[in-house]
Amino acid sequence: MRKKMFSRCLTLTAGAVCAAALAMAPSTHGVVAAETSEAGPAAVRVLGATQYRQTIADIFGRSIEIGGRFAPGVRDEGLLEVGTSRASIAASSLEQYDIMARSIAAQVVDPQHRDMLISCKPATPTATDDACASKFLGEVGQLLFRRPLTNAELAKQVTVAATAAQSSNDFYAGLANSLASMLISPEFLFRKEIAVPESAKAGAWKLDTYSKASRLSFMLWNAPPDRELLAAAADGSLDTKAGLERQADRMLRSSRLTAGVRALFADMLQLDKFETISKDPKIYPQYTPDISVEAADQTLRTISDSVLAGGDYRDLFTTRKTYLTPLLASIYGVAINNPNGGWQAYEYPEGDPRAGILTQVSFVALHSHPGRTSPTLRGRALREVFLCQRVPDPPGDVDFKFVDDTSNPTYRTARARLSAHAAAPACAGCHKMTDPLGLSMEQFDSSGAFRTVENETEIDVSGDLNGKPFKGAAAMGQALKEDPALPACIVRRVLSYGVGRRLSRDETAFLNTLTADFSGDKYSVKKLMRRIVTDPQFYRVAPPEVVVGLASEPSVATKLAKSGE
Amino acid sequence: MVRVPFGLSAGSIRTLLRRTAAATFSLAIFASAAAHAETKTFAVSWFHNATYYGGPNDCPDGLNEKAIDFYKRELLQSGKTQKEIDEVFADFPGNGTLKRPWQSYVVVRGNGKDNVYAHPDTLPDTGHLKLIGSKLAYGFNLDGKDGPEDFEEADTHEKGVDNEVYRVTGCIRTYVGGPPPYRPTWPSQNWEILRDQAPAWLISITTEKGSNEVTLKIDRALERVTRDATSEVRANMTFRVDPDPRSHNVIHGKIENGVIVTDPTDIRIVADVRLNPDFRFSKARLRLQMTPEGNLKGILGGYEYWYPIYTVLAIRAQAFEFPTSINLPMLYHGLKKHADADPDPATGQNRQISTAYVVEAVPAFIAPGPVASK
Repeated sequence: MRKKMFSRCLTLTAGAVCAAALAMAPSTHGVVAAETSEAGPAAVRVLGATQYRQTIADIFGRSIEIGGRFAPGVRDEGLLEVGTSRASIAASSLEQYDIMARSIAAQVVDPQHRDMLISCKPATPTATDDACASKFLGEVGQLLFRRPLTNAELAKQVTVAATAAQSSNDFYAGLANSLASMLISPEFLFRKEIAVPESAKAGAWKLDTYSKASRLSFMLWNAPPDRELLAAAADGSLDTKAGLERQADRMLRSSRLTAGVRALFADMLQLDKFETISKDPKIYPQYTPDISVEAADQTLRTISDSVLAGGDYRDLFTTRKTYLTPLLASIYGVAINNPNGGWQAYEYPEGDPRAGILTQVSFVALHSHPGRTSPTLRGRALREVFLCQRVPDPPGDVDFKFVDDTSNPTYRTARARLSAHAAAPACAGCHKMTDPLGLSMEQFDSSGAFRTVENETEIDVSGDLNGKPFKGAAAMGQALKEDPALPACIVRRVLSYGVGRRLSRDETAFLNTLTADFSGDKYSVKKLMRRIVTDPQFYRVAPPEVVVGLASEPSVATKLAKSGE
Repeated sequence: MVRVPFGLSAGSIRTLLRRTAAATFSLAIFASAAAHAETKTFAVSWFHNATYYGGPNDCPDGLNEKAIDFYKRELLQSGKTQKEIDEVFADFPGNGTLKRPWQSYVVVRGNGKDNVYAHPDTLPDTGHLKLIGSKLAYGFNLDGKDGPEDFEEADTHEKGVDNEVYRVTGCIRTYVGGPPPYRPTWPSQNWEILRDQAPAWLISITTEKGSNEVTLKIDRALERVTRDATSEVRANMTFRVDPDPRSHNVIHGKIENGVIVTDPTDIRIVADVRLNPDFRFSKARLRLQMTPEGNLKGILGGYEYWYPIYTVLAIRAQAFEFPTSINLPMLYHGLKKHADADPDPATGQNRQISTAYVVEAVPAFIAPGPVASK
């Protein structure tokens, strides 16, 4: 049935829509990892919104407007990238992808863009031209699908273009139709990883070279492979140690690494949640939507500056250096050198209560309620995001009457309210994990602005991390910096981000090696990324154990191998 | 208990200041014997005519007419027939198109040929402008005298307060305020537009070490104010000072009981070429104090040239007159008649009129370092 449906889909002009729907349906077609493998399974990952945008920009340039809406991602193990291998595309999202695909295709072939983006000209613009269509669709298809199209795929796309061109007497309309169908193809919308046996190690499996190129490219650039990387995949050099290192170093030197680093940390720090948070304007009139955008950017600038320079990851929690805009400076309550300018370097003075990324608006405002702070949310985020620890959800019947009542004359500060709340035995356990950390950040209100009193009562910012006492958020950053769980967690996060799935217990050895190397590399995230992407283990996958469903349908790799492409 | 605009008493402010975070700064700034010199800058968030509202008895003759009423009356007085008037005003003010037959009538309603806004004397003072009749107003005793017509200050109860602009405009329905926190409609609307178009105004207050002397600087900024989530002026923004000396004012004052009062001086602030090109005050004084939120609030009083007050509105002619119901020729006559300072040596006609403005400001910064080149 599925095979029949698959074949039918491919015969339709809008076949890609249909094929996508097929791929997005719950499928038994897949690979189940062997339990004893040292690597996890190959994954099928939905292309993220920024990855989609970056792909279109890479291929067609920034002047192509994308529009449309992307469905929110699914976060798993603290990362959307891990969630991409568990996410599907709903019918409503498919509709959005279809709208975007048609819009993009129409712009690519319109008179303003066609001469620049289409490398050949038809004999006549009112008729079909298979040679030109084949050239364009072959070139673009390789970049969209992140591998060359098979002969059959290319022939199919040319046929789609010709059919549409004939019916409309417009070569470019035909081309747009075919391009739109590729833009909604599962081969584009999903990053499908293909496993092949590893010749050097019996019983071991690894990603095929194109899947390898994709994993490498999305890890470092959050973008699909460029032509040079695809060429390295095609000629097999990417499968050699030297070839892989050559490509990795090229990509690490590229300015595009910034986008990759930003994407990694935006995901890890859950900055996508800024799209949905709001603040009570009566309580925090200074918090406007612009603040959310700039707060996220501020943190990513602070981080990428350090990471790209090979800085010590742990310093991010104590650094006094950051960037501010005039708007953000108003939240921080400081003057800025050029009020008419954009981003400007800023350094907190010695002894300032702010130091490190945890005292930035992006953390304290994101992990707060609309009308009040939340030491619990902040403490929980700190443990989960930066220490990879799990804090259980509160029980369903928990009574929030103390913590919600911010005007209670008896409990005037969050500390007092939480003490009353956490007195309940059911609550005490978890609050011991979260509150000593979160309470040390109480001098930052829900908008991220600094304060010293709450309800006319001086705020006590004493806290502790694993029994180590400190006072204030800056000191907490120092305590965090000295916690060995901090570097271990970032190693785990980066690796999970790269492979796009939960790490298995059998990968512990690899993780431990990376963690030890990270220490030896003076906690340079950039070096960590290089170690990961140049290690063959990063591309190893579990052997397929069960293949069901479309078992008779040969893989693209097999097709390519058979056709000699 | 002394009342201040918008419902806060001086006593309650002092109490609140002691209880809030703002107190730390405000007491340092406003204490009569500050331990250290300190400068704090504010960006003006509100600046509009200080229109005291005491209730309906403020205007014993009632409010001034609506535009349609004074248009019809004045056209009838000018010799137009009732039939003619009824015809042109059959659809007033009209459906938004330029087909407004009444417009060509009201523009020349003085002598039938000249633009009445450019030549307001063509429409004689009919004595229809209704004036404020109450004794309370915001402002200062600018001339040092306490005449029978003078006001008593609504907050400080100072006698001999001069505010003839309030007397003239206070019963025009779009100038009438309301009980705090309501603001007078047209003046606040004007400021709403102005503050988005004109560069910000900055007030820097420096306390003198160990004394109750203060120095205020009023400057224009190079940047405009921006709005916060409640559409008010965003606090804590940084501004550069406009080097144009026309808008640079240095004023001396004193702090008494947490209230800054400045000495009489001339103040000039360049605003916006289209709305209010220039604010020029002579013998002007400021009375300012902190709000519990750490903002600045008070009154600026002084003499202002009356003719520019008229022309700023008159250039907008009937398009401004009919929606605001401000009878511009009558405003001209009222301001001219009640002008109370600076007599013209040749004619004896006073050229300036006493006035008062509400001043409110939020904390701001002045750019500390060199301005980066664009």
